[in-house]
Amino acid sequence: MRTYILKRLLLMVPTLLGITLLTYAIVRLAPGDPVEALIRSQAGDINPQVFAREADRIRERLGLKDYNFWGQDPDHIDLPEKVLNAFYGYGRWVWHMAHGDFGESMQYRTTDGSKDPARLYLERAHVTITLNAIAEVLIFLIAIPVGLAAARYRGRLFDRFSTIMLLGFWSVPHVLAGTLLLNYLARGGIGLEWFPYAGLHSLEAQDLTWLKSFGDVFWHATLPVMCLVYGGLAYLAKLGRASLLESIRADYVRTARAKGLPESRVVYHHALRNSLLPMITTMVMMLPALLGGSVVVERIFSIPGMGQLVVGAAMQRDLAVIMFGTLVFGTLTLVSLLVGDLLYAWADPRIRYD
Amino acid sequence: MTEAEATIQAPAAAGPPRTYGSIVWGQLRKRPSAMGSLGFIILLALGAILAPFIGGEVPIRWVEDGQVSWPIFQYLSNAEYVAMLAFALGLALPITIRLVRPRAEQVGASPVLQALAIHAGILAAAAVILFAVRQPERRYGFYLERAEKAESTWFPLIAYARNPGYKELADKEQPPSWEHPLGTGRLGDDVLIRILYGARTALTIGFVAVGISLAIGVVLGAVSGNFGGWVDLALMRVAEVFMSIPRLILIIIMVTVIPPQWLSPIWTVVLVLGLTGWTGTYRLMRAELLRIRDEDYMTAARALGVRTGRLLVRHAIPNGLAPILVGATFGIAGAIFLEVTLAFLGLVQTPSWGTMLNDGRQHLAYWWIWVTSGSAIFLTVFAYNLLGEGIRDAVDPKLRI
Amino acid sequence: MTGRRRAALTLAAAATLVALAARAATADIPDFTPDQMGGTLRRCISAEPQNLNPITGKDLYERYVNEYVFERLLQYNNDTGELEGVLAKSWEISEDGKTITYHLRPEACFADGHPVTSEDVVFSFNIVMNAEIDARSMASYLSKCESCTAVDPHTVRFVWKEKYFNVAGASGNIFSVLPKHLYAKNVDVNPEKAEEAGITHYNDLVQGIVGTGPYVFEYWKTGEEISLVRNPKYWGKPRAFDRITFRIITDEQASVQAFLSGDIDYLAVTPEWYLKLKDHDGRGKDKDFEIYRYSSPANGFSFIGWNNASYETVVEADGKTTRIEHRHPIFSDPRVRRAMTHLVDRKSLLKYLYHDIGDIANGPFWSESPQSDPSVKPLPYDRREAMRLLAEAGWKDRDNDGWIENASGKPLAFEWTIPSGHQQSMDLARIIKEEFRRNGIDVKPRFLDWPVFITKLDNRDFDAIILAWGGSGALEHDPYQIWHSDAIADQGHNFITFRNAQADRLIIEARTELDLARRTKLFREFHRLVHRLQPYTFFIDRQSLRLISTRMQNVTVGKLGIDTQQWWIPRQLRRGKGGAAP
Repeated sequence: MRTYILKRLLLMVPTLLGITLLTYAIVRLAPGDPVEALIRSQAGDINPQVFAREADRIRERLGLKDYNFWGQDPDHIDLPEKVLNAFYGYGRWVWHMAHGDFGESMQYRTTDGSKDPARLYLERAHVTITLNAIAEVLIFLIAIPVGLAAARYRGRLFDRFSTIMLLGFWSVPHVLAGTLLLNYLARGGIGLEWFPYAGLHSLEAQDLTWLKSFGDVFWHATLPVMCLVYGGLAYLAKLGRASLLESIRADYVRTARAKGLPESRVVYHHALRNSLLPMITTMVMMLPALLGGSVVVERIFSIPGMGQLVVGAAMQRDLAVIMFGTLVFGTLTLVSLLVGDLLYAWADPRIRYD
Repeated sequence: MTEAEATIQAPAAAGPPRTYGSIVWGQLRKRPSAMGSLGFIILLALGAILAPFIGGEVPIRWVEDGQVSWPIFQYLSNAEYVAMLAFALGLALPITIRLVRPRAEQVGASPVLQALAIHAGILAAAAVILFAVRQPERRYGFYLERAEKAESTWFPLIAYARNPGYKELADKEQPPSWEHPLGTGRLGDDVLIRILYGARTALTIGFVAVGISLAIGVVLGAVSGNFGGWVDLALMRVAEVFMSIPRLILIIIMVTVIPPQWLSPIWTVVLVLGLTGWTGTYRLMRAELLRIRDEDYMTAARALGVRTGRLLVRHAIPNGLAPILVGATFGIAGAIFLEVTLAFLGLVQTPSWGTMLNDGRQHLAYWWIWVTSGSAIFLTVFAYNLLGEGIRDAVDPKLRI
Repeated sequence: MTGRRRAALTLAAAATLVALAARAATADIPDFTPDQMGGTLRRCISAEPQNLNPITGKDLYERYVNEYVFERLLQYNNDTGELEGVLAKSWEISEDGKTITYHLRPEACFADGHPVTSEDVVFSFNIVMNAEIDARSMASYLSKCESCTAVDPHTVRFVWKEKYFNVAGASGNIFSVLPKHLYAKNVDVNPEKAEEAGITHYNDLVQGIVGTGPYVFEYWKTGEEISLVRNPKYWGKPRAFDRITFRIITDEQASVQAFLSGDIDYLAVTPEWYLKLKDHDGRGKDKDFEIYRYSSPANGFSFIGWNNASYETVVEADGKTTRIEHRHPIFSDPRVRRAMTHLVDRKSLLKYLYHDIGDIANGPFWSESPQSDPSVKPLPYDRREAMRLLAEAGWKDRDNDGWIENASGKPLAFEWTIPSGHQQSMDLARIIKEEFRRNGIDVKPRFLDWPVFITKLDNRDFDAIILAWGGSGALEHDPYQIWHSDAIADQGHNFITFRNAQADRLIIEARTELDLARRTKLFREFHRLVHRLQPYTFFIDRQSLRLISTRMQNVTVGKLGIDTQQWWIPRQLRRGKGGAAP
C-alpha cells in the first residue's frame, strides 16, 4: 500500500507538469501581448520611457521575453521560435517555482502591497476555504438523512418526490439562484431582509467579541453557502440512497435481519456504516467542482475570494497568478482523487492496489 | 416488487432475440420521467429549428400584384436547411432501421448503425450541395412595413422584427401581451423569439461540445483499452491532466485570447469544452474494453481474424454505450451551465439564454425576461438530467421494471 | 465606466491680463459649528483603485479618494466654476500671457505640520515632468511650460514657451503639491538600484502619501474598504466629517442595496436605476434619500468616431516598416459622415437606452459652456437625407441586392470597434447594426478588451469606434489635444486623423487669444466647422445621477456638480464607522 501511495504521489508530478505546461503554453502563445495590454489598461496615457522599462522588467521577471534563436531579423519572431521560447519560458517558471519564486502579478496587490501570487491567494484563501468547508459539511449533513430516508422508504412518495426535487435543484444555475437569494432574502432587496448582501464580515468586525464575530461570519456566509450547497445536495443524496440500497441488499444485512435485529438497527447500524464511506469519498472528490461554483457566488455576493482572483487573472492574462492558481487547483484535484481512491481501498478490503 | 418476484419473469414469447440495446430501450420506455424528458428535448429542438416560422419579419407566403412567393424559404440559411433535414431524418430513423433490418441481420451487422450511416451520408451530401450552390437572401425586405400593399400574407405567428431597431426600441420591456406572449426584452426584442433562437445556441453548444468529447473519448478509450501497456499508461496520464485542469479558467483564457475574427466566442467555448470533456467517456470506454478483452468470444473472434476495428464497433461500443450516454447527457447539461456562467462574466455576446438571464437579473422587476430564460435553462437542464438518470436506471439490472 | 481619457484642460472664467484679486480659498466651505462637526461620510466605489498615488494614479477611483487628501495651487469653485486659490493666496499673469506668478499662503502646511513652500511646488512640478515618473497624462498639459522656479520661499513662477490662454489652469490645477522633504529621496533614487538601497521608488509608492488636504490616509483593506480620517493639522477651514470611508462593492445591484439599507450615504448610479428608484418608498426630501440629476462639464460626451484615414504598413527593402496614410475609402468624405449621423436616431436612443438622462451632444464643447455655439442644432434622424448624401458621394444600391456599394462595386461595409464590457455600448451596437442593415449598410461590431482597444486606437487601426471623452473640471476647454493635426502623430488624441487647415488655424488662434470675447468667437466658429464636417457623430452629453441620503445636510448642486466637502450630518443621525452591518 505504501508503495502504491508513493507511486501515485510521484505520478502526480508529471501530471502537474502537464497541466501547468498546457496552461502556460496557451497563455504564452496567444496572440497579443499581455504585458503591453495590461500596462495600457491601467493608464490613459503612458510615459513611454517608464512604460518601456516597466514592460521590460515584467517580461524579464516572468520569463516572457522572446529571444531570437536564429533568424536574421531581431524584431521578427516566427512561430517555431515562439514555441521554443514558450518552452524555455516554462522551464524558467518551473525552475523559479522550485525555488519558491512564483513571479509577480501584473495587476493585483495584497493589502500590504505585495505582488507575490502566493500571498495573493493566501490572503483570499481563508474566505474561499471557509465558504466551501461550511458548504461541504452542510451538504454532508443534509444529504445523509435525505438519502437514508429515500432508501428506507424506497419506492414510496417521499423517495420519488425527493429524487425529483433534488434533481430539480441541481438544474438551477448558480447565477439564477444567487440573484434570487440576493434579491429576496438580503437587506436592501425586496421581501425578507434577513441577511447581508455583501462580504463576509461586517465593518465593525474587529470590535466584536470572538464568539460574536464567529456568528457574524456565519450570518454573512448563509446566502453564499446556500448557493453552493443546493447543487451538490442532489448528487450526494442520490449517491447516498444508491449506496445505502446496495448495502441493504447485501448478504450480511440479510443475516442481521434473519437474526431478528430490528429494522432500524439493521439500517442505521450496519448498512449505514458501509455506505458512509463512498459518500465521504465522493464528497472529497466533489471539492474541485465546488470551487468552480465559487466563482459565480463570489461575484454576486461581493466576496473577495480566490475564485474572483483566478477569473480576473484569466481575463487579463496575468500569467503568474494564473499559473499559481492552476498549480493549486490541479494539486487539489489530484490529491482529492488520491484521497478518494485511498478511502475506497481502506473501506473495501477486497480492493488492493499494488 | 420484491427481489424474488423480480427475478422470476414470465417466459418471453418466442420471437427475435433481444439485443442489449433493445432491452435498455424497452426499460427506458417504461419510465415516464425519462420519456417525458426525451419528448421535451425533441420538442425544444423542433422549436429551435422552426423558429423563423414561429417569429420573425419574413413572411411565409406573400402575394403581391397577383404574384405568389414564399419569401421565408429564400431567407433560411443553409445551416438551417441541414438542421431541418437532420431532424426529419432523425424522426425517420425507426423506419430506416426496419427497412435495413432484414439485410443487416443476414450479414450480421447492426441495423441501427447501418441506418445511422445511411442517414449521415444523405445529410453530408445535402450539406455539401447546399453550401456550394446556394447563398441565402440577407436584405431586410421591409415586409412588415409593406404588408398593407400585399393582397395576402402569411406571417409567422409573431410578426415582429427578429433584431430590434429604433421602432422596436420604443416597445422595450413590455410585459406579456397578445402581441408578445412572453413580453419584450431590454431592447424591444420579442422574448419568445429570443428564447427559441437561444435554444439553438444551447442545443448546439450541448451537442457539438459533447459530440467532440464523445468522439475523442471513444477513440482514445478504445486505443487505450485495446493496446494497453505504455500506451495506456501515457494516455491515462494525459487524461489525468485534462481532468485536473480547471475548465472554467481554461475557457476564459481561450475566449479572451482568441480574437473574434478567427473564431466566434461561442465556437471557442464549444471547442474547449469538447477538447477537455472527454476524460469521462475515455475512462468508461477503456474500462469496457479491458473487461471484454479477455472474454472468450473476443479471443475467438480475434483467432478467426476479425479485425479489431470491427470488434470495437460491434461489441465494445454497444455495450459501453449506455454509461457513455449517461455521461453525455450530464455533459450537455454541464455545457449549458457553463455558457450561463460565461455570460454572467460578460464573455459571451451572441444572444443566448445565458445572456438573457444575465440581462434580466439586473432588473428583476421585468420578471418576464429572467423567468423565461431561467425557466428555459432550468427545464432543459432538468430534462437532460432526468434523461441521464433514466438511462442509468434503465441499464441497471437490479431496477428492472 | 465607459472608457475615457482625460480631455484637455480647463480654464478660468474671468481671465484678464493683469493682476487678479486674491480670492478666498474655501469660499464654499461653510463655517461649521462644533455641533455640526463629526460623523462619517460613507461612499462606495465599484472597483479597487490601481494605487492611491496622486501623480501616478491611473483611474477615477484614485481621484475620488485623493480629492480629500491633496490640494493644488488653484481649484475651480464648485458653485461658480471660476478659478480660485487654494494653496495660492493670489497670482498674476504677465501681459504677454507667458508667465504666471503665484503667492503661496504662509499658513498652508502638510499633514505632518511642515509648511508649504515654493520648493515643494517646484518639486511637485519636477516630479510630473520627470521622464522616469509614470505621469505622462499630466505632463502633456505642461508640455509647453518652460520652467517653474522658486522666486522666494512663498513665491513661485511658471514660464511658458508661447502665449497661452490657460496658464493658470495648466499650472495651478493639474498636479497636487507634495512635500519635498518626505519624498525627494524616492524620486531621486535610481529605479534599478532602489531595491538594494531599501528605498521605494516614487512609481511604487501606492498608499499613505502625505498631502496638504483636510483628510489623511488611514487604511486600505484590499477588496473591502479605504478609509480617511481628519487631518488634525489641516491649515484651512475644517470640514464637518471626522472620517470618510469608501466601500468597495463590485456588483452594482449590491451597491444599490447597500445604499438602500443605509450603509452608504452617497452613490453614483446608471440611468436604469433612476427609473427603478424614482418611485421608491424611501425617496423624498422628508424620507430616506433623494436622487440628484445634473450636468456638469466633468461629464463629458460619448461619440462615434469615423476614421478619416486608413493606414497601410509597408515593409521596405531594408526590413524597416513604415506606415503610409491614405484617405479612408468610406469615411474620408464628409458627406458620408453626415449621412451616418443622419442615420443615428439620437433622440430615440437617448430616450430608450439612456432613459433621457443626458442631452444630444452636438459639438466638441460642453453645451452649457460659452464656447458652444447655440445656433448649432444637432442633425436630425432623416433616412432620406442620409440616402441622398450617400448617393451624392457615390454610394447607392447599384445591383438591387439590398446592399449599398460604390462605383467600383465595393460594398458599404465596415468594422465598428467597441470596448467591451459596457452594456450600453453593446445595446447601441445591436440597434445600430440592425438599422444600418435595413438601409443596406453592413456593420460588423467588434468588441475588444480595453487594452486591445487602446492599442488599436493608438495605431489608428479601425474604421469606426465608440468612445467617450470625460470632461474637464471647468467651463472652457482647449480643443488642441483632440482636434489639431499636431495631435495625430505620436499616438496623440486625434486618433481619427482629422486634418483641416482652417480648424488648425482656429485652434491656435484661440489658444493664444487672451481676450475672452474674441476667444469665444473663435471657439464658436470652430464649433460650426466641426458640425459641418462631422468627424465624430457626437452622441450623448452625459448627466450625473447620484443617490444621496437625506441625513446629509447642505447638499447643493453647483455649476460644476456636487462638492461633498460642504456637507455635514446632524449629531443624532450619525452612524458609526460602518453603520449597520451589510
